[in-house]
Amino acid sequence: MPARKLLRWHEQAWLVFSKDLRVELSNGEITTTSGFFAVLVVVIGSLSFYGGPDAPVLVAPGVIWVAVAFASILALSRTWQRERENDALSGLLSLPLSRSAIFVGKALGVAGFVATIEVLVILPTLLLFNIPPGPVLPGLLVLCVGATPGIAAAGTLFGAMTVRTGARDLVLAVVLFPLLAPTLLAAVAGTRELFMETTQAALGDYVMLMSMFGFIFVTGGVGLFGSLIEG
Amino acid sequence: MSYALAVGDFVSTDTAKPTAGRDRIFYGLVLLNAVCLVATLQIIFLKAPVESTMGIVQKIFYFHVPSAVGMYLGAGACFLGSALYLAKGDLKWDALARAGADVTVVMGLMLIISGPLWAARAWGRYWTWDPRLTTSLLNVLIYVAYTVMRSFSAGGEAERKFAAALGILGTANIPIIRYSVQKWGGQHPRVITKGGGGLSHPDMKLALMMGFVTFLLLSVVLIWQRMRLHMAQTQVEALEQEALELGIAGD
Repeated sequence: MPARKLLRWHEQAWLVFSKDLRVELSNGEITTTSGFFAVLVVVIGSLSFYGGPDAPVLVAPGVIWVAVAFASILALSRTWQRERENDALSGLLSLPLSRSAIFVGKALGVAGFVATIEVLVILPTLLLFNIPPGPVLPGLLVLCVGATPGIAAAGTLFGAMTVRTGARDLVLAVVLFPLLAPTLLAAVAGTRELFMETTQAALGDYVMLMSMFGFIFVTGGVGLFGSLIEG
Repeated sequence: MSYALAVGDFVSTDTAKPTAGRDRIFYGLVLLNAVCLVATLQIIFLKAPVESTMGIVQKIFYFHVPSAVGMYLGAGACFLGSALYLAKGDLKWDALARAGADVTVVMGLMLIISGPLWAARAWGRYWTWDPRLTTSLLNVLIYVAYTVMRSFSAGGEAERKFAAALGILGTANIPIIRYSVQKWGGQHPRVITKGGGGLSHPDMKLALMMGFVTFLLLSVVLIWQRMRLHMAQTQVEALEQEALELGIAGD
C-alpha cells in the first residue's frame, strides 16, 4: 500500500465496477447466456406447474424467484471465472485498491446482472401466467430492490471461493442456496401477497426482512472479504 | 528448515504435557455421559408413564426436544470457532468450528427425523411449514452445506477461511430466520400448539430434564471428540508435508 491513496474509496469501487461493466459490454456474454437461461427456466417452470386458471397466483411467484436464483448463480460464477482466467485476480489485487472497495465494486457488477435477470424473468412470467402487469409492477420493483443486495453480496463473497480455493461452481451452489433460502422465501411470500392483491402494507415487512439479510451479507462481505481474498 | 521448525512447535505445544490433564477431563465426561444415557433411557422407558392419548409415540418427545438444544449448541460452537479462527488464525479454533458443524448436522438430522415421526401421530401429518420446523430445516441445510464444503475441498488456508465465513454468516442468520418464518408462518396451517402432549406426570418432567442433561453432555463430548479428531488430522497432514519436504515419505 502506498502512503498516499490515489483514489478515494467510492472511486475505487466504481473503478472495479466499471471494469466489469466494460468487459461485459464488450461481448454481452453473461447477460445473454444467464438471461436466456432464466427465460428457459421460466418456460419450463410454467409448463411443469401449469394447473389451470387458478394456479398463476400460487405458482408464478415460485417460478419467478427460482429462475432468478438459478440464473444468478450462473452469472456470478461466470464473473468470478473471469477473474480466475489468466490469474486476473492477482492483477486486481496488486493494484492499490482497498479490499472492501474491490468487494463492493464486484458486488455492484453482480447486482447489475441479478437486476437484468429479474427484468428478463418477470416480464415473460407475467405474460405466460396471464397476470396483468400494471398493478403488480411497482410492487415487484420494490421486492427486487429488497432482494438484490443480499443475493449480490452473498454471491460475491462466496463466489470468490471459486477463485481462491479448489472449490468450484457446484460447491458454490451448495453453499449459497441455504444462505439465500430466507431471502428467496421472503421474496416468494411477498410476491404471492402482491398477486393476491391483499394489503400492500405487508410488502413493507417482506422488504424489511430481505433488507436485514442483505445488511448481514453486505457488512459480512465488506468485513470479511479482505482476509478471505488474500488467502 | 523454518517450516519443519514451525511444525515441530505446533505438534509439541498441542500434544505434550497439558493434554494429560485434558484427557482425564475428556474421558471423565464420556463416562459421565454414558451413565446419564443409561439412566435417562431407564427413566424414559421404564419409569415415565405411557401417555394416554399418544401412547408410546409420545416418548419420542424426550429425544426430539433435547436434540434441538444439541443442534443450537453445535451451531454456537461453529460460530465461536469460525469467528476466533478468522480473528486469531489458530488451527484449533478451525477444528472447533468444524466439530460444531458436525454436531449440528447430527443433532439436526435427529431433530428433523424424530419430529415427523412424532407429528404423524400427533398432528396426523409428517410435515407442516410451521415456523419452528422451517427454521430447523433451513438451519440444518446451512450446516450440511458447511460439512459438504469441508469434505470436498482441500484443507488449505483459503478453504478454512471461506468455511469460517460460512460459519459466521450462517449462524448470524438463525435469529432472523427464526423471526422471519414466524412472520410468514401466518399463511400456513399452524398445527403446533406447544406443550408437547402435556407432561402431566412428574416422572415425565424428570425424563425430559434428564434428556436435556444427557443431550447437552453428549453434544459437548461429541464436539470435543470431533475437535480432537480434526486437530489430529491437521497434525498428520502437517507431518506428512514435512516428511515429503525432507524426502522421507513412503510414497
